[in-house]
Amino acid sequence: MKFRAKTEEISNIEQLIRVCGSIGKMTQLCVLRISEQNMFFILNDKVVHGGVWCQMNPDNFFEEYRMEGLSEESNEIYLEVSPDEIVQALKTGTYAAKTLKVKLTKKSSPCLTFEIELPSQSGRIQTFIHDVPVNVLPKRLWSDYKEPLVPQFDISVAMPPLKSLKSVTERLKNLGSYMELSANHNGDMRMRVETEQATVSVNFKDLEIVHVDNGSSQSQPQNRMMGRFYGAKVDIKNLLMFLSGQLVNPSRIICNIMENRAIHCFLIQEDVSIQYCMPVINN
Amino acid sequence: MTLSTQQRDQDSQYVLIAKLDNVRNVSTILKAIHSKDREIATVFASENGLKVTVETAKCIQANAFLQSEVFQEYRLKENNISFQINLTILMECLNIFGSNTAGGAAPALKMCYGGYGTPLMLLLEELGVVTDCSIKTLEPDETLDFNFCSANVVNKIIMKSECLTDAFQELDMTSEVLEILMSPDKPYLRLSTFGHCGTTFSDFPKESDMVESFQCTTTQTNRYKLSLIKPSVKALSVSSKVSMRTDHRGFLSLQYMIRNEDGQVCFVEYYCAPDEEAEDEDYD
Amino acid sequence: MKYVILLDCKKFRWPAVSLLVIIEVFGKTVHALSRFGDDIYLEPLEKGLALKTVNSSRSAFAYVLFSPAFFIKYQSRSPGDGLASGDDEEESFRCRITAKSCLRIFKSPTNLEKNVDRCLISLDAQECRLIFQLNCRHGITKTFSLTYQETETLQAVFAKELSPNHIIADSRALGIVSTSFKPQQEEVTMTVNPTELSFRNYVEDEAEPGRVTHSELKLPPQEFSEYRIGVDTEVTFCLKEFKAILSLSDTVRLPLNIRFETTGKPIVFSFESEGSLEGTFVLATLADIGASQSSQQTQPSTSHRNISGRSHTTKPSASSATTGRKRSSKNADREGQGERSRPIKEDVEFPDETGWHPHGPQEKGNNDQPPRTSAGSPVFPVNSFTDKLRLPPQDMSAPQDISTPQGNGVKEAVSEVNSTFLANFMGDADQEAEEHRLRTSPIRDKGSGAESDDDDFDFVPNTPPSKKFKSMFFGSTQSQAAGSSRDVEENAAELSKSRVLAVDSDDDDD
Repeated sequence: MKFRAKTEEISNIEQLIRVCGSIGKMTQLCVLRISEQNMFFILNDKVVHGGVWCQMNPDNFFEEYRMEGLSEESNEIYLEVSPDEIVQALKTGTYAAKTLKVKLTKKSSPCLTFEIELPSQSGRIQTFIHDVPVNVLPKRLWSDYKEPLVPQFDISVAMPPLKSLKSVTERLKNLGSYMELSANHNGDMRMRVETEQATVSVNFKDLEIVHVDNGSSQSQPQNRMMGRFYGAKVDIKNLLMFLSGQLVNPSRIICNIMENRAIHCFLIQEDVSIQYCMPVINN
Repeated sequence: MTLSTQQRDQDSQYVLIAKLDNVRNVSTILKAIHSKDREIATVFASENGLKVTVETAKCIQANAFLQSEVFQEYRLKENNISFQINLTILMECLNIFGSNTAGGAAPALKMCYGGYGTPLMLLLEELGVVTDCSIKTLEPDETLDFNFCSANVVNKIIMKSECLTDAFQELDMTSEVLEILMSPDKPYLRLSTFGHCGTTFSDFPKESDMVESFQCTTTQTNRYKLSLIKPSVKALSVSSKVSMRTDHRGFLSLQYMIRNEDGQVCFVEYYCAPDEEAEDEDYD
Repeated sequence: MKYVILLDCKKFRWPAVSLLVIIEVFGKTVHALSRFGDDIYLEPLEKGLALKTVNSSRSAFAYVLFSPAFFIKYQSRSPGDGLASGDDEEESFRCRITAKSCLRIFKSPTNLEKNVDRCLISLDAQECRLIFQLNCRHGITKTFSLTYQETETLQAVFAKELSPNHIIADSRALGIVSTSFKPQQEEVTMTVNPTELSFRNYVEDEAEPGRVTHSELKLPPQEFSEYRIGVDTEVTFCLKEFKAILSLSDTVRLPLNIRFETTGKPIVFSFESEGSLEGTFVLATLADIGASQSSQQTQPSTSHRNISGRSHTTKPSASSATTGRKRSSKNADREGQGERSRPIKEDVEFPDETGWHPHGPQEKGNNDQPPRTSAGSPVFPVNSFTDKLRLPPQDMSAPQDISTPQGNGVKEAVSEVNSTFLANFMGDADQEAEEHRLRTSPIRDKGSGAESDDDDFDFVPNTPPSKKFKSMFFGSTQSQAAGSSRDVEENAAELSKSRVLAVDSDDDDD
């Protein structure tokens, strides 16, 4: 197994920090899957944190990118990593780094080694090396980290701008622990918190309804009542973790809802996409 | 048409309706009396406006006055309506779109109350996003009457809030009490604390450009429970001026002048009973 | 007596070019010192006002002297005392205040400049108060009247002048060290050889060492205005205090002198601006002393710190520990700089090309010593104040050894800072026992007068220093004859290598 990547663009390092930082908000430990075409951060936990599937195109982050997987047939690498540790390592690079090299190395344990060259106070080169320990996953475990199947959702809606979504969610977290997130085919989305003391409902309107074509022959049922809300109850903390990631300007956040069963958010930015499947509270 | 008649019908069930274009004109004032350890507030509505009162430990009372002119619409069906409400929740709801001050479109607010036993309804709108809130109300308790009248005032200082804010923020919280000395002679105004590591005091000369009016007739030294008076720093930080008065019994009145974003002047007032051993027993 | 010190918020032309504001510098010094210890020691001396502190585990000592020129007015004794003889100066007043209370005064050093015009520091000995009076904007006066405790002087013993390694760093050259390690990182290891200086995060054996990121920063020697390496070595010291030093040297814009010898011996940082300000900071470094006794005592879990440890930690065994020792000694022979090997984890196999990197976890290139097997935890232990004061009896009974040039000519080497300590230390032998007794009572409140016999009994001068921290604040420069009063033989070995980094010594006051 080999993996090596290099960039000389500081903006790439910053973007990597934002991606890893967003993942780190949601989980302490996840799987980094490296293939020839893509890199993925994957978390497969339905119950507590939910599932995370983050896909990025290495060409957008590295000028040089080389990998050699387990074998020719299984040309992939699966590593268990801590996104926060990666962020910490990359942060050195924000001081006007000249180059960042990432490679899979074998120290006393397997490591992702981040080698960062920085100009010093006097203009010379100082080198910072971070060996971030990783676990290499054996092939038999790979199947646990397949791309989640996207089920048939009752509704898919493009969420309001991240910033307003985030501040509203933060307030709602102070009012209660759980929120019912629902939307209808008129383009209304509702966030509702109900406690003994108060009921608060934030109503967004005129949102775009997304028609997801996930290959199933079932056409979007036209007979759905336009005003009917489809929703599910989630832990506000989970939603907030997703929203407070460091990707500040996603071009779109799609929220897919399967009544009382699933809430699936899809955050899309030019060079990266994050899918988050939130655990749903049933009661 | 039907919608508006419907709304009028709905409105008719309320005894109090208040509308406001800029919710911050209310939330800023309420913030000045809010603190985590006194969550329950009593709201009084009269034709003059709203008065919101919170009390702690039967020895401090904070009042916020929202005169009817603050609202773009203020309708009252009965006089002297009062109820209690959880101020923390009310504040969260008022700030649902974020509490960022200054600049940007402020959310508009419509507040309705249907009378005894009904929840307080809030309708907030910002850029087409509408938030409905329904907050449980409680039966009002009687509030304290500090019987503080200006005829009995012995010392009075009006100063800019700015300089007092610093002093309040830096108070040594290991001290039980805050001692306030007001005197026609030096040191004029002195705030002292007696903490674990020693004594700290700040002196404000009457000649300071921060002092606008100085009318002290008697040297008076009173102590107030620091933990109770400390939250008034919130009022200080949003106000422009403060009037500090004591009466012959040593009761303290702090009046804060707060200018809202529309340039209107609102007031927040704190009353505080002095901390005296003997009186302590009476109160408990 | 009454000491009067006036700080003026005038702009002060620093000899080292930049314009600084006095109160800000003073405030930042207080901040830096508060990152060391819980108490700040104040000593108004003729040569200036000294602020000192020592951290709770006594592994770090800080000393900053503001010379009279720093103040607009400096009077270290009341005018009435003027006739007292110069000797009394040594007996001058010293006190200790909590860093917390001091921080309240200088809460936000950068704002001080804006708000504060003048600061008066004075002493009210009658009321036992140290008074800081700040004259602020708008005529407001803030007065902080702090209770203090009278105390002995605080001194550190170190030999900076003779250190074989001397580096001078521009105030900002090491700035990246402050920001690049995780905030929770406790110690860093600095490795030097003539061609490179590097900093690594120090990683101790933990349950999951494989989960700890190893970071290393390499700096070319050209970064430094002086880079003299007499002995290739590596030293491990506390990051928190180091950061405080870096930030203060950056504030005052003075180059930072770094002097050190080798593993286990203190590292000394200093800066000086002629005639106004000087700072000296001593940090203990983790020792790799192979004290066999302590290894026996602490064998079970931590003895194999030197193994990179990923695969072996779960079941510590004598054999793994032995392996570790061998490996370490072998590496030490190779000067330990770049060729360490690490145990290979069995379950994953990598072809060699994957980019082996030689720098690995923290094996000490520890000269000739068996690997350290002592208490293992690099976290400097927290000791009770009194414990720390138990001086090794050798120090007491054979003070002349201090000047024996075993390793260092300590006497000459001791900087000015130590002079008081040395004076005490090497003083009249008859007084040693008495002095020691006094030392064991660290806080000497005014009027608390004579100590009871019980105290005396509790702190027999022979009491050996508590082992767990011997490697922390006992350096290992001196070899001294074992004291005649030794009663615990097992401590002889370590004591023979130990020296106190920071002690409270007492003036010979009546």
